Amino acid sequence: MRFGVQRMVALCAALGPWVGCYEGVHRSPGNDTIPDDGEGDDGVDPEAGQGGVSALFLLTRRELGNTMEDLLGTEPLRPADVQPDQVVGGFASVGASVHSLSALGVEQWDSVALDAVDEIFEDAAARVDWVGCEPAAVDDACATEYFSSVGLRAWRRPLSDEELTRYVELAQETSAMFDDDPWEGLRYATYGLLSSPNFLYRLHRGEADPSRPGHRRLTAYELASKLSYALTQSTPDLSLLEAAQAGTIHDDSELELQAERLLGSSAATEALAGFCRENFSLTPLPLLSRDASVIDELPSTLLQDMQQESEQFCVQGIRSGDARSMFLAEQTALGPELASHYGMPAEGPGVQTVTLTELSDRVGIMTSAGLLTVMAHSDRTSPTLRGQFVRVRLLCQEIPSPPDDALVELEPISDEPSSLRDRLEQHRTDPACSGCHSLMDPIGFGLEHYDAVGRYRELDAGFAIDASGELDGTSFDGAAELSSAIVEHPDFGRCITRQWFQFAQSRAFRDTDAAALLELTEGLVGSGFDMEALMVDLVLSDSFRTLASEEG
Amino acid sequence: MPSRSLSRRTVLRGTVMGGAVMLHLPLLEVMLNTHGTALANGEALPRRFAVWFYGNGVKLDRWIPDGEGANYTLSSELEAMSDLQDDITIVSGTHCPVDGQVHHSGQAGMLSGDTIDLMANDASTFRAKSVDVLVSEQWAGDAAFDLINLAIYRDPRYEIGTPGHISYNGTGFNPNEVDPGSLYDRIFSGVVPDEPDPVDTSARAAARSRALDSVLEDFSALNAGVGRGDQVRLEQHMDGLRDLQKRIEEFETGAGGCTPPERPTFSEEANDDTRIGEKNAIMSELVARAFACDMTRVASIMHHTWYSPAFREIGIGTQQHGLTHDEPGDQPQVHATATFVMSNLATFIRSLKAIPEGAGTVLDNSVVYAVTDVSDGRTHSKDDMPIVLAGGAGGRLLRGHHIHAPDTSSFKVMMSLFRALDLGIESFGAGGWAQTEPLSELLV
Repeated sequence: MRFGVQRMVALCAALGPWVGCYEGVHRSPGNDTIPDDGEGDDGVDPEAGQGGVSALFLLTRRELGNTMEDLLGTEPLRPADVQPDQVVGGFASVGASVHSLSALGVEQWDSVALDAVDEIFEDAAARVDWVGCEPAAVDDACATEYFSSVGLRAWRRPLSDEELTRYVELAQETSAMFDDDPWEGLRYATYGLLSSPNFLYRLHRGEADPSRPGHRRLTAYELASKLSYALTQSTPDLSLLEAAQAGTIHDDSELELQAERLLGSSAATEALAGFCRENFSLTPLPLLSRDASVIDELPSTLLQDMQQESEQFCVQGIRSGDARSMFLAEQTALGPELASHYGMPAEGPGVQTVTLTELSDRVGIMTSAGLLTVMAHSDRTSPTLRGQFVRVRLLCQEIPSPPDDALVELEPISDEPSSLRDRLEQHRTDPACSGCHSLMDPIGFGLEHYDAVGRYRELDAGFAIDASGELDGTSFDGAAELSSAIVEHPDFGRCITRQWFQFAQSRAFRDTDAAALLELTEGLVGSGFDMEALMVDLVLSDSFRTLASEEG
Repeated sequence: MPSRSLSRRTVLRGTVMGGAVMLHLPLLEVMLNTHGTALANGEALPRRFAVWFYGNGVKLDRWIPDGEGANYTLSSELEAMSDLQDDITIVSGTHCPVDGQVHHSGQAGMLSGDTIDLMANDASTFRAKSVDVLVSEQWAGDAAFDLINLAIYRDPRYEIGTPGHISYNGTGFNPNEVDPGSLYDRIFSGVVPDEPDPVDTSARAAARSRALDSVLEDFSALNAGVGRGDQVRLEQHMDGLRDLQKRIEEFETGAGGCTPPERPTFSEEANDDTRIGEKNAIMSELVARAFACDMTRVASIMHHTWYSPAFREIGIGTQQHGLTHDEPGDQPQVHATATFVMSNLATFIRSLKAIPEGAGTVLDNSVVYAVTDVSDGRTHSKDDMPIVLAGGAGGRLLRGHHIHAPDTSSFKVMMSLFRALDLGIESFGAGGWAQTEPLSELLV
């Protein structure tokens, strides 16, 4: 049984314990989507776990999977195979700069590495294929060449002489445990290479920058890796490793060519989809459950379609040369299940391209069912959550935490039925919550025509919906006008730049990045919001290629 | 999960040779002194520590027992513990002092003595190490696994952050197992009959261990060139690697007399919240056996957090968290969920009590610290925190009492447990919240 509209509207609490705002939003060049990430006091510095700037980046789940596939041709990893990512500021890649493997994570990785190696070395044909020759001993030409080449590919840099010697020794000793079978030596040395921190972490140690005395830059191999993981979420390919070996990757022209080459790859499209899922909080969508007493369960196939549709608005916005089209696109592609969810007659089993204006007041990603669903509660819409999403994720504004004396228990406001909007309006008169709600609710009202799973509706609890609202001085009525207000907001370009900056650099934004961010933002806006141009600009920037002095 | 179990077998592949292999370090009667109160060599029987956490509090007016001291009457929410009254102590009245009004600040407070770093998208994180980690560090290396982490229900959206985790190791959360089969495989795989393995088993264990020696050298080299924060992360990783290496070596020579349980056949979608009680019973049994076989001495059990299920199996269709805020009146449905959760806790305590050990049971040598994030879900209050303690800590912890301790920090309860377990941890709580003295009534 539901308590219906008569129930207590403890919405200040129900909007979720993570939101509260009593002093208004604020932004500064160095602000962050992560509240309270101060390095002072006794807080944990999200950039380094326990002080200092991190130079180590644990490969994320997705990166590990792609890397293993590219390196060994293994089957894709399943999420349960490896430790969950730590997500910081919305991005697993940022969390990777503070994360480490737990005891369970170590064990899980060990299984993956051992399975992968066994698969190769327990098959007489596969191992010759993999190694490229038949070793007669672990120190013959075949084996030595194998260690150099697999070492380079696995560690994304050549092994030092000392390392090579150690791994040959490992192969010798383990081979001796199996009647001097060289294949066994190769097997356990390969297992070691894949278990090594030099495989599992990317390192930004850097070197003296010859063109700028006193400064440090990434080494050629570090730069090749960083570029590759930023744009394809996978290990550098041979072309990148060659450019690193030759040192040409430090040249602007070569770096630009490589960045553009990677951006044109299908791996980049996958990586961009990954960015889009994280940036728009779409990752959990396929697992989302709704309150079955209020909303019929959504089939997982539909949830996946919803995720993909929302994600594609973003990917195509990046690919189109104008990121604003994420929010303003008037066309979408729908499979039959999603079309039916939108109340459209399905036209056969295939995907149909639909003009959104035919779908009552829909435009761009904000009105896509996937995004509307992740921005709702399990049993009802939440103008507050939706407004919070716009502020925090799309405009990079900060909403302060509630003070300790904030009331979370609220008395019922009325026994009379009312619309959610009315209840929120009344609720906003309570000074304990009004500061918070007035920042977010008026934005979210623009999306009230869409229910908690993104279906269009004219009524809420029997009341006509009023979808008018306001975003920092811009009034709007309905989702289309809200979407325009978002892309015209002065913080929009800066925010999407900042989000990409963090994702691609695998680290949280720092105050010292303010100038770089400003320059990149100006570039993005000047190009008419061309995200691919921004991506190349970032790669070519000092911010991407050099290390701050404290990183030395 | 066929593929998963195949993968798990790999860890211990070759230790089996087609027959049941016994685990190391069982507590055979022969190893005990004649009174069954200690090991024959004079060492005390091992102590165990379990954190049992649940979200959204209770209904205090139906939870706090009537009467204090040894003569108390269990309340309706604790009725399921009536057969355990001599094994538990109820602590009421203490407050969790940390900052923060949200659920997970209470969660972090009760479990780590500090508040959280509030982050976007619920990826919030504890600031301090959690108590299960603190205790496991004190006992590092004593058992095959220093710590096991499991969850009865974890919202599938929250593989990350405090909605899905209660164990923090200083660099991030410790992932928890939600699948009983996976947990079983992790702990007991290799001790069940398996297909014959073509590889020479002891050579394989030796080869893997030798390879990990090289890996540890890579770590040392890397460690020397990075900052302190990164070193902490690498150390965390290395600790796990050394433990793994130790297990690989031990299984090679393992011998003993501990019989593992059957592999649970329970399988479910992680999102299924219709069989929580059943899953809780299976997981409880696994933890109890893991304690008895000395596979681990510390367990962190997350029943659920404030990202809670609807307890459909008792006829409630609304998620518990929403219910605590929305249900009018005296909240009979919230009361029903709290009663159900307490009955799940009773099941866990009973599992420990069911296994004899020496002159008593595993429970006698254990401490269960069962806490929640808020005392009342509707108000998010951290006053009057409901705490259930179970087990005797080898005779050091008070049992069979209701202790009402108003104006007392909950952290003194934790200090009492540290003392009862003879741990060298001298304070609990961050900064001004630190407590150095126990709640002395709890110690015997």
